[in-house]
Amino acid sequence: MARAGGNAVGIRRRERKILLKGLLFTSPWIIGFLIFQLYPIVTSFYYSLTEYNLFKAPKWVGLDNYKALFQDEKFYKSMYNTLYITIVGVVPHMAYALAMALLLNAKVKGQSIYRTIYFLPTLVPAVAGSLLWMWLLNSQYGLINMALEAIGIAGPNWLIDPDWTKPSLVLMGFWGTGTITVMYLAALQDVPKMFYEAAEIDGASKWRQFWTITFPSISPMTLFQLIMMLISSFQYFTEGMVFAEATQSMGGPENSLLFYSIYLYQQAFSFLNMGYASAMAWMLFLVVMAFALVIFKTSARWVYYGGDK
Amino acid sequence: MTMFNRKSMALAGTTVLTLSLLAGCGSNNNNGGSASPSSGSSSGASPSASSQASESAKPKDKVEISFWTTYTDQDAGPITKLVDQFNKTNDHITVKMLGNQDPTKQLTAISGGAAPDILLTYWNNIGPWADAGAVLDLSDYISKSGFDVGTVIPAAMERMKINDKYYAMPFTMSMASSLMYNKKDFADAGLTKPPETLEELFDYAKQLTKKDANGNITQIGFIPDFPWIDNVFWPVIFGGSWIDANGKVTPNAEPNVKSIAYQRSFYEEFGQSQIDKFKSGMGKRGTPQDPLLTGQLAMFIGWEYHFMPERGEDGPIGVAPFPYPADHPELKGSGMVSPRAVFIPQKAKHQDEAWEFMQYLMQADTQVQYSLDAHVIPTITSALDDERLKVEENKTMWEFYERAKSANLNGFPNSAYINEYLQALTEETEKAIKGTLSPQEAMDNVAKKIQPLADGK
Amino acid sequence: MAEQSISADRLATKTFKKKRTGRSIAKSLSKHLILCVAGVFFLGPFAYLLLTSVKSIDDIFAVPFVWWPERFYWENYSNAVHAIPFLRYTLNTLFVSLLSVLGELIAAPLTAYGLARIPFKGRNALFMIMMGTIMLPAQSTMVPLYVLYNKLDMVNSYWPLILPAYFGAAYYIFLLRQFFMGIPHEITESAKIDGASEFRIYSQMILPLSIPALFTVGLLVFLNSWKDYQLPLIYLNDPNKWTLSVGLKAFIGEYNVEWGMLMAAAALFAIPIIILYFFVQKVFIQGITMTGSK
Repeated sequence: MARAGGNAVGIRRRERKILLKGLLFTSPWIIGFLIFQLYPIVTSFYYSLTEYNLFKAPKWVGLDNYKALFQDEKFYKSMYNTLYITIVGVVPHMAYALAMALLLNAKVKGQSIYRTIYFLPTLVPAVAGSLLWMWLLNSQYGLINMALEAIGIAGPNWLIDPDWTKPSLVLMGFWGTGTITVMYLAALQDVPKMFYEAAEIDGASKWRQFWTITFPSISPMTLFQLIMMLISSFQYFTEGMVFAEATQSMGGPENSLLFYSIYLYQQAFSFLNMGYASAMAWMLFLVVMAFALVIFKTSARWVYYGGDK
Repeated sequence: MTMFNRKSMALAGTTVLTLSLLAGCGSNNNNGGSASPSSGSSSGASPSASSQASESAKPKDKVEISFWTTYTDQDAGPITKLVDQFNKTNDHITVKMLGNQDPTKQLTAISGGAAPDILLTYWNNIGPWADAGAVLDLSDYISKSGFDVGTVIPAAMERMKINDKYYAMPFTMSMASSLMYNKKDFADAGLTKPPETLEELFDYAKQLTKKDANGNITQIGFIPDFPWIDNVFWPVIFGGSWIDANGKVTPNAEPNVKSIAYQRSFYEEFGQSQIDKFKSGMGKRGTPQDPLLTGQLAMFIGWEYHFMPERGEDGPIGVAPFPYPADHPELKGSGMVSPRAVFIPQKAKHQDEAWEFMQYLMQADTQVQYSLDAHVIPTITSALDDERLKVEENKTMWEFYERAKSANLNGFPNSAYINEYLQALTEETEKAIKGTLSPQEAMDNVAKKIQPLADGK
Repeated sequence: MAEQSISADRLATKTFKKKRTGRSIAKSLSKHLILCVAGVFFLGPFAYLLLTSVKSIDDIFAVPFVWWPERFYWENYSNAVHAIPFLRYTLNTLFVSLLSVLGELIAAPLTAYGLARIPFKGRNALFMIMMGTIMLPAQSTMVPLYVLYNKLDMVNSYWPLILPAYFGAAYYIFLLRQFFMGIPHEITESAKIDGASEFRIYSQMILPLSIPALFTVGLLVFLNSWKDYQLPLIYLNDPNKWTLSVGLKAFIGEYNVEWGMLMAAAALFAIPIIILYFFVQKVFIQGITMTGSK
């Protein structure tokens, strides 16, 4: 053990030791990053500065691809669609998943059964899921519009009206919140019970208990979900493709389902504009990073780690 | 610290163990699974044409070529039969086929340096892939082997051409040149024969459309963009074009614009929201609830793979040549062709062998056999008249073989920018059908968008 | 130890039950009511899948919807299992999924611990780089990555599917980091003063305290590996190596889909994960008693 004397050498040595320890623990990821990720990432950035069709040697064009992005109306359109699904979708889905986790964490008979049921929709493959959606959202015979009709509302033409295709996706997204619920459930196990007992004695209401005990305790998980859902929402792809397929065109009615990643995919693999697609990828990176940084910066105010000193 | 070292060693040990297990299992699979007699990557020993050795004598000398198709198990039966037959009769090549290889995978593998020797793909990939340098130009092989491209149905062969060179062969082709209709709907409306001209088609559609007391559609005669927006079919029917001899794109030529306006007229007649609403309530295409089978929809743009059993003589579906514009009788028999292409990657290891296999696929005998098994249209003109196809079980295909001879068959020109062009057509046609733009404005937009690409590539 | 506390827990509930007041019964009833109503909503998709899997093609697409089939087509299941090498695909998928889980559970907690509890220089920068790697859409790195695996001669093997797990995925590292950061420092402080090594603190204090989190990660890795379609499709060129998700494509023809068999196979596809999940969520209950001591 290093003698932790008060002198500068000792401090530096201690620091070096901590650094070594830190690097040792994080080495699995660092090594994997250097072997498997660095090359593709650097290559992709290089491509974004070139004209590249996946076969012929890339031709250097500088920032032309990035400049072209701002002239491309579909860039804006797909960005709009993606922002829409992110802003409208992320917070409600997360709140919903948390609510479900709280319910499922309550001690009731058949807890295991309930928990399993709530997880089931995540296991339904997209092909089966999309059939179900088609039926539910059918504007004439669908269950949703029939229910709306029963209370006197004329339901929209979900899958065909470009104003309603994205809300349809958000609606269906609630079914896919099972994994988020599971993660929240795991987080809820870590909330110290004694806090509740103390609050109970103080006579605090359940609502108050949630905001003063539960929410702060699981705030690290909320931060995780917020960041990860933001990232995956900005890369929204599969569901949009399945939905659009059902409407027989890549971008859906009037390109209302042309999400950023779908357009990027089209540029790369259908038009063979890999350089342009790479520029799109890096532009998305910048946007998501900006959002993430804002969230991380503000997180100091609302995320509480039990490990904080 | 000792703890750390010992544990981390154990950890590393476990990892290595697992990984070696993994490797072992991987190679196991490799050996156990391979159905072909020859080993994985044979040395590529040159097949001497003179060696008359029987196939069983020296299987090791056979060159194995890999052949990727888009077909999944569901459709792979007939092509598997052809490959087996080839493997049995050919003395120096073994073809190993792999299905379910979608274009993204094909592209990734070819670009990533692991190209198979020959692939079957959608024809519109050939243009961009060939222009990018991924696809082998077949000109040399064609001239050396004396393959006569004139024996292939021109509309299909034309689709394989990029910048005046052939890059692929049309193994099969699909064709939209028919009108399919619900016989009962026709009888109920007192219609005794299918419509002859487009004007009649419109008129029929009106007669075959029914509404309830609230004005909701309960049965519709025809929807021009069902099941999808037909950005090529309609201009073909009106005798349109997409590019002229000077390299000017012509999506806004008069016949093209007319074809869009014609589609729009159905929406003006029946109402946009009415059609949309009815459309969403129709049964799913290709199931027993198909709207044409249930009679919800009376007429439909027919391809040769539609309603295979139901369009028989006693079946519920009737088939007729697709109508033509009354003022252009010379366009009778028009139709759109969409082939399936086989091509050899430029980086393929066994190009000679791949070309030999390709020629086998394009032989009249092979084409006839495949047509019988898969119920598709052969692409070799002489095969269309082959007696072997005239068997009763293949009867529903007969009239399609006849229609495949029409000189008015056409298709979209293949090019480096074909997918951008098709995408722009779909987007703008959608706007015109919905009435947000006039047909002329919409098609002018396409020309504006695509001309720079045509000039650049 | 854990079992003991569970039974103690049960005992507590028992005595509690006796003292139940009318108000608490009403409360529990209302909880059940909410859970049931929401449960129907969540049961919907899977029930739909199961019902569809035993329907005839006529019933599947009937308009208006047919809730209960007239005749159950159980043969969809036997047909599906025989139409594709179902057992082989299942074993392949299981192999890939389990090894991925193992790898992730080795690599992710280690890295997460380093990021959460060792205040080394550049830690935050490293964390942000890690987050950055997943902000770049995969479509743009897919081809270079394929080139890399091809150069390593790993195309047409399971390596590209499994190997990344052994270096930790940012998603799970971030998740575990959040859990580890939540564990109070007082717990580890005394051990540190006693001279315990960092790895010992990690393996003997932090990991046991994070059982629910670790099981969650295991479950999610398994689920994603089990369901993944893109990677197996891209990297496997031998049908004998295919996984279930790729194999299921066999039922989807270009113009013709074997809906009954597809749905039956999809239902079978989900069963292993349901079993695994049931087991994992049980651990959550145990987890309460374990970490409850803190």
